[in-house]
Amino acid sequence: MKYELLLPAGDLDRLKFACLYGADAVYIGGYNYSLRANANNFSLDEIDEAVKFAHERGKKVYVTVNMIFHNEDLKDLDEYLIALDKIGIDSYIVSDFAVIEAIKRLNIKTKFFISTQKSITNLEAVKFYKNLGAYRVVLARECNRDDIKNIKDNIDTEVEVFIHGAMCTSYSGRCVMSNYVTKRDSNRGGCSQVCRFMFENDTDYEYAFSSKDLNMIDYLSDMMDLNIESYKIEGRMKSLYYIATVANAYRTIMDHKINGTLNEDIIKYYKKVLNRVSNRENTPQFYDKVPGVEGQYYSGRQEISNKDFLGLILSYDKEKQEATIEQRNKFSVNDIVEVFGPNTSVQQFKIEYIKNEDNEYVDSASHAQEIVKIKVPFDVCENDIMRVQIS
Amino acid sequence: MQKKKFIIIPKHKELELYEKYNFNTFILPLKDYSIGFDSYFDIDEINDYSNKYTIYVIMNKFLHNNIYSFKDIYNKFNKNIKFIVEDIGLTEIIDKERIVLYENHILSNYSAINYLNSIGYNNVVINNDLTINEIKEIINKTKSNIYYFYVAKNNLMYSRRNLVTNYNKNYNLKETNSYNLIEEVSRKVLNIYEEKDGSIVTFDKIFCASKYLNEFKNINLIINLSKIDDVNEKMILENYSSESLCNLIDSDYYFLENEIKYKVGDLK
Repeated sequence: MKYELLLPAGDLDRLKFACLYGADAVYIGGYNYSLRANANNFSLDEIDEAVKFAHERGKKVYVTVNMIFHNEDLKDLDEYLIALDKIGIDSYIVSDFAVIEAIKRLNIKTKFFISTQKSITNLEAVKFYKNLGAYRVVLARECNRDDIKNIKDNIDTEVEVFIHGAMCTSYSGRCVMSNYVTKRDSNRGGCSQVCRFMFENDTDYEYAFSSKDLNMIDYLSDMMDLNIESYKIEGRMKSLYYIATVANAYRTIMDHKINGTLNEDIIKYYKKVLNRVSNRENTPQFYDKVPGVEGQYYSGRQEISNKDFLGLILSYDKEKQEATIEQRNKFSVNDIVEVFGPNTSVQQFKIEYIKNEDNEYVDSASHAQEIVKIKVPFDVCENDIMRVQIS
Repeated sequence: MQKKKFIIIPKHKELELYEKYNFNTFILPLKDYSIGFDSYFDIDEINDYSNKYTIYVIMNKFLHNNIYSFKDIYNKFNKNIKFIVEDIGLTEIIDKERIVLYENHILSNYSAINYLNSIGYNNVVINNDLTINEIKEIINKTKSNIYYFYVAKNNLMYSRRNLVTNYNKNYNLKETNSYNLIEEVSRKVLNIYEEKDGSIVTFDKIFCASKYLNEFKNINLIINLSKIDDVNEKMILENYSSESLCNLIDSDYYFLENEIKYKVGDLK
C-alpha cells in the first residue's frame, strides 16, 4: 500500500521545499481557474518547471482547476487544459462539470480528481464521479471515520482526505457570504473569509463562527489503517517555513507508522511542532465527532504571528563546523536552537558565535535576510532550517 | 421546452391555503433530509398531497451514511413525485427522469448544464448568485428545464456545524435556534438558523427578481415562503406574477445587478 503525502505550494520556492521536505505530491494553481486567486500562483512556464523539478525527484504535481465557472470564464478553458496536458501534469483537480466536459470533449488522457468543493460525503456520490471517469475523489472535510471507511471498503476509486490546515465553516463551496458582504466571489478564489468577521446581534456578546484548524496527528495512524491513498495538507497561501515544517512532521510520522516504529513520544513532539507553526488552535474536527463548543472561535480572528523560523542554511563548512545562514527572524549568541532538514534529523545546539557579512563577531542576527555564519557542531545541509528549540 | 411556471415552497403544511392564489405545484421539504425551511413533510403527507397536486420533494442536506435510510424508503413514494436533490449521491438511488439537480452555489454556467443534460440530467436549479445577464445567457444556450429561486430568503451558507448552540453554550445564553447578525463593517444583515444536523445563513431581506420577470422565459420560478413573515407572505402570494412585487415587499435583488469580482486586484 502506497500512502501519499500531498502538500500545497503557492509558488515555485514552496513547491521545491514541499518536495524536499517529504511530499510525495504537490498541488498548485495557475493564474486563473483555481480557488486561491490571491496566492502568487504559477504561470504555465512555472508549472512546466515545477513538473520537471518534481518528476526528477519521483514526485507528482496536481493542478487545481477547481473554481466554479461562470459563463465568461469558459472562454480560454480548453486552451489552458491542453497546455497543462502537454506539460505533463499528473492530474487536474476539478469541481465544475464544465471542466469535466472539456476534458472529455478534448480527449485529454491526463487523470482528473474531484475537488473537495463537491462535498462528497458518501459512497453513492463517489460512484457517480467514478462513472464520469474520475480517478480520485477528495472527500468533504465533514466526513467522519465511518463515512470514510464505508467508501474505502466498497469502491476502488482513490480517496484523498485533508489531514491538516484551515477549515471552512460551511461545507466547502456552499457559501457565498463573501460575495454578499464584500463582493468577492468565494467560489472563484476570492473568498474574504466573512466567517472570520465579527457580527453584532441582540445579545451582549459579539458573534463569530470562525472555525479552528484541522489537525489529524492523533488519528493519522488510524486513518492509514483505513488504506486511504492520499493525505492532504491545506494552505497554498502558507509560508515556506510552514510548508517545510508540516511536510517534515507528517512525513516522519507516516514513515514511522509504515516502519512500525511510531510511538507516543514521536506524536507528542510533532504535535508541539505543528501547534507552534499553526497560527490558530486546531482539533480533529469531524473525524471523531461533530465539532462542539470548543471547535470554533467566538471573538473573531485569533491568529498568532509565528517567529520560530530563524534561518535557512545556505551551506556548511565541515572543516570549520560553520554554517552560512540566511536570517529569517532574530536570534542571538547563547540561544538554544534546533536544525532539521530533508536529510537532517532534528538536533539542538547552543549558538556560540555569530559572524556578520564583514566577518565581524556580533551578539545577534537582527536584520531581515542578512547572511551570517554560526558554528553548528554537527553536519547540516543546504536548505536545512534553523528554528527555535521546541522542547 | 415548457412555459414559465411558478412553484411554491409553502410556509404552512396546509397546502389548500395556497389554492386561492392559483398554486397547484409545490416543493415539499422532506423531514430529516432538508434544512432551512419552515415546514417539513413525511412520506405519508407527501404521497397524500401528490394525489391532488404536482409535487416535488426537496432534499438539500448532504447525506452521510444516512443516505441508505433514504434508499429504504425511496420506492414508497408515489411515482409521480420528482426530487430536487443537493447530494449527488442520490442520483445513484433516484431514477434519472425524476431528478432535479440542485447544487447550491456551484452550478453557474451553461456548459455544465449542457453536460448534465448530455448524461441524462435535464432538470437543474441554477445558482441564486448569478447576474441577470448570466441567467439570460444560460436560458439561451441550454435546452434543460431550468429552476430558479425567484422569491426567497436565499441561502448564503450551509454548515454541518451547530453554530447557534455552540455560541449559546460558550456564553451561557438561553437556548434559541436563530439570530439576526449585523456585520460590523459593512452593516449588512444576515440571519443564521440552526436545525438538526447543521446551520444555514440567509439574506435578511427577501430576494425578489420580479423586476426581470419578462426575462425569465420558459423556466420554473421557485417562491420559497420559509422564514418570511405573514405580512410579506400575503403580499407575495397576491402579487407574485407582477413585475412590481419587488417594490411591495422588503426586497433585494443584490446578485442580479452586482457583478462579483474574484481577485483583490479586480476590485476598483
